[in-house]
Amino acid sequence: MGNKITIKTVGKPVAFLLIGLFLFSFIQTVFLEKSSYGKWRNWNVQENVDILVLGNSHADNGISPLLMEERFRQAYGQEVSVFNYALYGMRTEQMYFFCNEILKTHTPKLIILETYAFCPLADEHREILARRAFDTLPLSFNKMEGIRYCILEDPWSYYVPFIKYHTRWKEISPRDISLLYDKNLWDMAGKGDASQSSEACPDPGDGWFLQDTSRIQECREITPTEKECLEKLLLLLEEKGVSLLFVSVPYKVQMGLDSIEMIKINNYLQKNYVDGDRIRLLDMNRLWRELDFDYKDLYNEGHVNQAGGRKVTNCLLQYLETNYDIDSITN
Amino acid sequence: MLFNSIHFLFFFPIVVLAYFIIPQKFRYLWLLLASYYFYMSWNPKYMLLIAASTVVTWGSGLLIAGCAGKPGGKAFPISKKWCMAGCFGFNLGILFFFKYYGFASANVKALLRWGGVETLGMPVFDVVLPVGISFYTFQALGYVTDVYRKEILPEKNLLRYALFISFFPQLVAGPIERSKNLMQQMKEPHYFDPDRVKDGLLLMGWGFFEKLVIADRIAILVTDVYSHYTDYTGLQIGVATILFAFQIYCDFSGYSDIAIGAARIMGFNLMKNFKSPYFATTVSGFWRNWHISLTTWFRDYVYIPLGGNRCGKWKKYRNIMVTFLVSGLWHGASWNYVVWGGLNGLYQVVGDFTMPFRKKAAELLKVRTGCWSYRFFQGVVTFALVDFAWLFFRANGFMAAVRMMRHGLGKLGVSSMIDPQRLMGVNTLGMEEKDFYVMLLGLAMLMAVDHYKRKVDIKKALAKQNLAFRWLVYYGVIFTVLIFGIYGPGYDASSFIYFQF
Repeated sequence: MGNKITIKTVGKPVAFLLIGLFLFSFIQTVFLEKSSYGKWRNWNVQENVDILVLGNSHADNGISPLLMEERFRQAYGQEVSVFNYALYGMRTEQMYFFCNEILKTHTPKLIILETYAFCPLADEHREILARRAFDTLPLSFNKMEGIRYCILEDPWSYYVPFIKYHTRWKEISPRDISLLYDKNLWDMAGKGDASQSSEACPDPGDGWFLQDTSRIQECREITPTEKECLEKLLLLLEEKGVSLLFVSVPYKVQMGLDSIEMIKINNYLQKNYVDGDRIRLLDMNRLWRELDFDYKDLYNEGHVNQAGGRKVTNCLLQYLETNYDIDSITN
Repeated sequence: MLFNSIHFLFFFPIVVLAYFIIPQKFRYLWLLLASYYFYMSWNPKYMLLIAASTVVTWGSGLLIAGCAGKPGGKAFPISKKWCMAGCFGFNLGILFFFKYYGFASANVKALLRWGGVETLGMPVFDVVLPVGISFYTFQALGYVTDVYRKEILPEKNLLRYALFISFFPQLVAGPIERSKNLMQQMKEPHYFDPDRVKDGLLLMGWGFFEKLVIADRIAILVTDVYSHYTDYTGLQIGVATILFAFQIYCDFSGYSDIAIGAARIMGFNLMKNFKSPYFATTVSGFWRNWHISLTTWFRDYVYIPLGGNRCGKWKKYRNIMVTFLVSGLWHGASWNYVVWGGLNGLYQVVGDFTMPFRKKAAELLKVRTGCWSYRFFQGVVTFALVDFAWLFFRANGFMAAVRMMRHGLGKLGVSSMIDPQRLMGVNTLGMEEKDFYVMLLGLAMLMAVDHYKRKVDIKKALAKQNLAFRWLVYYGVIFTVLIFGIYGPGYDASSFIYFQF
């Protein structure tokens, strides 16, 4: 008796493994949490994107691609493609790797980056933020580097995310499968209106939005990690010839960072990175009076509602029309 | 390194691959290295203990065999006994220090205080119980006893003997192997056999199913009920205790199956540790099929040396009680384990004592004892007795068990198991509904397989089926474990997905 290795001995296990891997990869896609899935799929369908919005829930709620495209069409007769790829919780440290990935297939003329992305990151939130950014991205060297850079614990789970998502069997619905192939479900992801909420946040009577924020000159420095990622991002955009507009959507407070502190961070970005040409900044947290912005425009203290979103988008459009050559940011 | 860990998922294939590549005569060295690495992954310092136990028992085996071989008078048999005593003293001394010192000193203090004596300044040692020490100590002592009884020749190769003691599949949770079985296999050549590998993988898969899908799921419910028993009624505590019977079975049997499967892949046949124990119709029958490696160890090295059942009825009962009390203590250094062991011993003593009366009663009442309904009734009674004892095993101490019973008897709550709000009106005892039904399905599958394998060799039956069906079963087991397995809080999506920004 000895070791008998035949084609059958090797072939059957290999076939078993291959079929198993195929089944596993299908199940993995079904089990992934789908909040950013529609945007990723729709992004891959888009032929061209002129203006790309990046950031987190502030940008997702505040900036309406639908409104912007309509305005460009009506005012200039131009078909401008705007895509809002803001993902809830996105932070600067993921931004570079995320951008690097999506710029492989598209090169927009302008990237709008919402600056709440510079809100300090609490360790216990790292996982969800990184997962929303990385879990739907295909495996690539960029993704591997991003995981190595951003993830503190269990980095292997970003290569095999199913192990973390396997408990979702309790809530898997036909939609989780339909989302994989039904284009109708991706249609408005990243291309639709902004905030879905029409609720208004109760006014606690603290006069927060009556403050005069125009005089705030202090700067709040960003962390070394954020600096490093931002500088890499700026280099990447320079290489690709993409302009950058920092935008700060109005809000009161979220995760310990209130809008006054946000203004200080914006001041820092203005002082150190904005050149007035390729890199600009629009701080709407300094424009509460001009926008007539207060609690009625928020659905909670951190996020704008539909009314607030319209104000933000209109303000942004006005800024673009005033400060940019529209032809340079359209096709 | 647990079997259900990512570490083991990488460790095991590497070990097996290298095992079949390395030349036969060096394979045991590779396994020894892997086994020590496996053990040291828990705590590198543990290596010193297992190494010490290995060297002492190996040396004792040689000395004992050497003593026996020498011609001479009475001095030599005494030497043999002293070797044995020294070896037992050393190993049980280590076990006592790590596992029983705290328990013993607490009880001595309590006894002295009760006697009105001021407690002595007994030293307190804050030591962590080394993983698997109870298992490998018994395995080593079993070897020495086998040499003493001349049932085997001593192993001269220290490294091969060290592998026998530390063989990683069965190191931390058994089965407790006999030298007659495992040592011989370590000298035999093992060849790669795809069918054997397949069998081993299937057994490991089934083990993971028992452990991750059933046992760890039930553990959530049982832990909640036992930790907050005052929030539950007697009936609910009873249901949790019934579920605990399956939790401990699936946990232990699952681990054993993974160990046996892993060893099988490499060509080693470990002993079966469980044989559908909950289908037993007597408590002694249960113990013949539960944790077989430990039960037979106690039978061969405690019960029989005490005289077994060949010294009169009352001494037999004494031997049974001693064996089971010691067995209880082996499971844990706490009175509730001793009570648990004692109860199981008592069941067998009472069962044996009342057997003639029960037989007579059955004859008088013309009860048919050969029909399935009677066997079913016996099975239910056996399960109830065993399960009552499990209450002591699971409780956080003897007094906690007593308090729980008092609370349960005072607040029976017959209607507490019905919950009209739930999907099927069943009270899921705090467990999520879908988890509860997965648990029930898992238990149904377990009982079906356990019942079926008593009559049929499932592996052979499966091998006779078409490839497509066989692969369907394999994928079914794999994906059931992957999807429905409980991997702990760090692997629960709800712990991170639903954080709202």
